[in-house]
This record gives sequence, structure tokens and C-alpha cells, in this order.
Amino acid sequence: MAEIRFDDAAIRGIVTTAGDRKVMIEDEAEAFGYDERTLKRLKRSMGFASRHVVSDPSVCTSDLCAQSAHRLFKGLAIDPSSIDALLFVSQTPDYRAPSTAIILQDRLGLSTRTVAFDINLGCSGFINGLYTAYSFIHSGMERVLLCVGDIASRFAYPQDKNLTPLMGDAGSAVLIERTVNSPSAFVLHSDGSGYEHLIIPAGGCRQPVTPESLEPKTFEDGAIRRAVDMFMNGGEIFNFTIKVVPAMFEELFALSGREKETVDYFVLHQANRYILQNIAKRLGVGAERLPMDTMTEYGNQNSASIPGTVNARLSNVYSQKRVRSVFAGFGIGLSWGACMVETDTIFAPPIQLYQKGQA
Amino acid sequence: MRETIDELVKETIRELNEDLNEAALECPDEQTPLFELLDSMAVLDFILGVEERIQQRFGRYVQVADETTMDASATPFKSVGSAVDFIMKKVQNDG
Repeated sequence: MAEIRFDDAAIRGIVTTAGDRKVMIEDEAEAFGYDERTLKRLKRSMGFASRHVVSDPSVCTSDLCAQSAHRLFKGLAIDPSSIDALLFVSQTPDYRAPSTAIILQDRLGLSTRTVAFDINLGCSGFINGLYTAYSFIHSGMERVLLCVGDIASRFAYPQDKNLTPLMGDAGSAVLIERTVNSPSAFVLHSDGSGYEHLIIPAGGCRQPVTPESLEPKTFEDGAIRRAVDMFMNGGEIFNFTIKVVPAMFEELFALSGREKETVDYFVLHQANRYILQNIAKRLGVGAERLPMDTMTEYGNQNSASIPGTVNARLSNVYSQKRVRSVFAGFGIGLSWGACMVETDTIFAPPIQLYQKGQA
Repeated sequence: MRETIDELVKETIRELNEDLNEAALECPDEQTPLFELLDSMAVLDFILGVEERIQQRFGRYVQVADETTMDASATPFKSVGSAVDFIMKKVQNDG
């Protein structure tokens, strides 16, 4: 069981860049075959309203992260060459090889002495990435840049009515630095027995791309997709989330030695409205301490949804005072993790939209 | 207690069916199948509706969903009767 505590690392800044094109669910309803009543139900239970995607098909996750990183360096007056490690957490790298993190090392002006590699994770990616960054600091590094995000709109088939209306594009950059007396606790879990419930089946070595895998098919659930697109068994993911997330919080509270009442904000992966409301009610925490509507405006930002929520909903709070937070992510893998961290007046500007030339 | 839960479950189904227009759900009884007539979004809607009504009637939140909710072979929502039994236990145990 991965349960770890640190006291020598802390977040100094969080910046998120979202896709520049805002898509309203009403504009997509006809393409997905939603009638007015279905649309009403989906808005109520899932929180569908709008999402932000990139308008330029050549833009990659690394471009969104690079824009975020430049803004982060400027806001904190950081010399990029002072960064010891760069982690890029994404399911949409620039290339199958090499690691996008290494390309970003050069692009962002980091030293060739920087450790740089990719981590392939989705909704739990921010927690796993943050844990890795804190571990690096604990091992002796001074500064780690964590880049997380996805061009999620690109791994869902455009006419997949179950997945595409959920997906938003975003890339975040987070700076973690050495400090003292900043207690943090992490719990991390993986369960590969459920790997088929959220998967892009074709495109790897197990199932290489073939002409057939590029053919769209209509499945039993009425969704259209190809084998190279993301598939989600919504029911199984729902069951998984309901089962593991509340138990994970109990583990985290026990490990940290702190009760939920001492936590200022619970910033969770923005999966959908029902899941977040359910967790909030079980925790006995209101929307003022557990933001639930990032997905409603920006779409599900995958690994960037936690930093995205900090920037989109809590920018003033994190920028102006000391905050004790619980962050939690859960999804593809299956993989889930949570951490309790403290931040003190960090650089956390409001979320920004992608602008060509800023990356 | 069971009568109250039965009433709020059927109220929720009737409201949901205003959108779904399923003939089998127009006059639900104990034997009426439920899960097989709903897609996963409609199951979520049903749960939301039941949880809201429980909160209104009993003044507290009771989580109706669990890890078997969307499992076709294990779901407690196979029929209206099994849903009522399951929800009643949830309300009693969370009391």
C-alpha cells in the first residue's frame, strides 16, 4: 500500500491553459442524437453545459502546458535553468516516442542536466505526478516542474455521444520547491483488473493500428467510435468511483492525522456532477469547500482538472492565503489517489485560454 | 416505512418516465422491471430523484448508489420491488 508523508516540499505556483474554442452542449445535441428531454436530463445529472477544446488541430497538450509554464516562470520570476526535473503527465503525448517531457526541456529553456520523462496517466495523473515531484524534492532536488493535461477531445471519437460531450482540453504547469515544515500525505492505488473499462484498445503493441481499427462502428450502447478511440464503460467506472473514493478519503485522514473539518478545500477530479455531489454529501462538505462546476464550463480536463479547478474557481483564495487542501483523482487504469497538502500564497492566476504564439 | 419508500420510488419513476415514455413504467408495480429499461444516464437520474426525495421526507442525505448500482447482474434496481427493498435498508441503516 502506497501511503507516504513528506514535510520538505510544497507547491509554489499553479497555472492552467484551456482550449480556446468554447462549445455549447446545445450546439452538439443534434450530432449526438439528443432530443430536448435527454439534453435536460444530461444537464441535470452530468452537468453538461459547455466545454473548451483547441480549435487548431495541430495544437498538442505540450503547447497548452508550455503556455502555462511560460506564465508560471514569469509570474514567479523563475529562471527555467534552475529546474531540476520536468514531469509530463498525459495520455496525448506529441509522439509515441520520445518522451514529450524531453522535448519540453529544450523548448522551455531548461538545463540539459534536467531529469525529464513522461507519465502515462489520466484522471489520477495529477496526484501521481505531484507525488513523484515531492519524492524528487525529498531525494535532494530543489525545483520540479510538473506538466499535466490532455487534448482529450482528440482521443474521443467526435460522434461518441457517451464520451465526447464530456471532454475538454487543458494543460497545467505546477512548480514544486524545497521548503521546511510543510506537511503532506499521499495515498495512491492501482487496480489493473479493470483496465478494459476505460481504454484506447488499438495503437499500442497489443493491438497495432490496422485499416479495420480506423473504421467507425456503432456499438450496443448506440455510441459510434473506432478501436483507436477511447472507450468508457460508464457503469463500471461509476461503480468503481462510488466504491473507492470515500474509502480513500478515510485512509488519507488517518494517514495525515487530520480530520475533514481542518481541510479548507477539497479539489477533486471533475468527473461529472453526480459523482462530485455524491462525494460532497458523503463528506458532509458543501460546494463552497468542494467546487463541482469546472467540468460544467470547461469539460472534463482529465489530469489537468484539479489544477484547472484551482485556477478556474479558487484563484483568489490560493493566491492570497495559506490553504490546506485535499486533492483527489480517480479513473483510467484503474488508478486512484489523494493527497493532503498545504500551500501559502502561491502564484495561481485565473485559468487562461490558449493563444497561438504564447507557447 | 416501506409504504413511504414505495411511494417515493414510484413518484420518481413516474417523473422520469415523463421523459422516457416507456409504456412499462407508466403504472409501476413491484414486479415492473427497472434496470433493463434504463440507460446509465437514466439510472443516475433515478438515483438523484430518489436521494432528493429521501432528503425531503427524512431530512437527511442517504446515499442510494453503491458499487453494484450499474452492475447488470448484481444491481439492486432490477425491479421496482427490489429497488424499494434496497432503498428501505439504506434508509434504515443510515439512520
